[in-house]
Amino acid sequence: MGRKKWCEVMLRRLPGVAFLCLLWCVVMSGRALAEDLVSCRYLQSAGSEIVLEVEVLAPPPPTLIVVQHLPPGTPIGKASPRYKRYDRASGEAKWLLKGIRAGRLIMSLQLEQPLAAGAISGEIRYKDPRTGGMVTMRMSP
Amino acid sequence: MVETEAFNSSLAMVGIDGGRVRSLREGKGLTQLYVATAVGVTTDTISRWENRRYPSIKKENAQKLAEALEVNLEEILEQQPSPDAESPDLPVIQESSFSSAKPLFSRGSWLWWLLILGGIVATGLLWWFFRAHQLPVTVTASRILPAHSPVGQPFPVIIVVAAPQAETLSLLVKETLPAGCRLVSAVPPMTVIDEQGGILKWLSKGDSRQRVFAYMAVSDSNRGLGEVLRFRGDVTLRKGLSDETVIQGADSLVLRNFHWADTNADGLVDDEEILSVYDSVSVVEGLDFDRNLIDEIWSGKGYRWEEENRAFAIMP
Repeated sequence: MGRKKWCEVMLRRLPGVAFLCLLWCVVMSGRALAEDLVSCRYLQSAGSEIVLEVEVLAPPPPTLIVVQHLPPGTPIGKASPRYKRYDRASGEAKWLLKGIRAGRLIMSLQLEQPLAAGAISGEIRYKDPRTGGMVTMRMSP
Repeated sequence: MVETEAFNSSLAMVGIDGGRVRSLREGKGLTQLYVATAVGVTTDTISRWENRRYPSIKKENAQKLAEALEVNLEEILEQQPSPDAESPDLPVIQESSFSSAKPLFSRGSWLWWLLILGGIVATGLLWWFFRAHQLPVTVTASRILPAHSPVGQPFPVIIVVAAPQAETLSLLVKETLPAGCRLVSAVPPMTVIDEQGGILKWLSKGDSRQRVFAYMAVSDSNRGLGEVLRFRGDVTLRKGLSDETVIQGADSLVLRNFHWADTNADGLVDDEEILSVYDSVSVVEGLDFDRNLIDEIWSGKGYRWEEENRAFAIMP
């Protein structure tokens, strides 16, 4: 193929390549925005101790609310970090975690009576610093 | 005694060097409006000070003027000529040193002088062109203010000033409190406070793209329920063609028996409301707002305003 012909072919393909590049940029930026800044998983969800791992990416939301649903009437022995509110009648414990930084956070609850598997659930709420929108994430074992 | 001294001090007059003030102001690219606002006088007054050789002004104003010009007070004070003031360190130029110098316009050198003169004129024209076509530096300013608060309860006001890009910028933020409203605390501390007129001023220098000025204010206890407090303010830039930028955003607060953090006035501080508080107000480091009370309201099942105690009662 002559040099001139090669140039013509490339010129004809240029709009298509540019469109694909643009599409890729849009998709990647959308994925970056859609990515959750906070993720969590139960390291232990049954027995007399519940352990939750929360992972926060940058830019971190400055404040997190963690809600843990236990079976109604469950007595809590110890909590780390200390919860802000626990309504024993409904079994709802709430944490208000301030000054959050990117990284991992381990939360644990010592219970006075062991729980069966699948008896708990939870939620994490925060405001996404990129959009200002409220995010609620459900957690289950 | 102390009061008398303070009174005398505020009335003390000093002589300033008008020409020096003008050259400092122009050298730093400051407008008369900026300096006038920083000192708290009119632009006519600044003009008068600059046009007189050694005007006498209040020492207090001279101090503010020096701060606005970013120099020590001594640098703008009138310098008394001293008869003994000679400059022994200056080199003495001997007349004989000129005797061997070439004539200024020797044959052939006129072309070089012409070129130098042309260069100076061209530089001047270029300087004038770029200065005349320089884009004005503009900033945006917005105020974050709760929609309501009970009479006599402190509430936060946040002013965010943003520049299009990070650059060294000096600006003056002026905020006027509504009548019947007074200041509790401010972060950063204000440069000037006119308590009678309810005017707060911050003189800020730096290169950050976004600057935050916050304060806690409280309404006087004799204000009535339902009254609206209106806030206004503007930002003056040290340099730039735009004179003043009006602070946009929220500008009024209604006196109601709901906590300022309870934005929908439903007698609760819910998750979204407390996250808004901590994501906006608490990021202003050092602003002393009622965070413990807000945490307690959020932890409880609701709250109500008790008029007789002038306090919130939290329902556990």
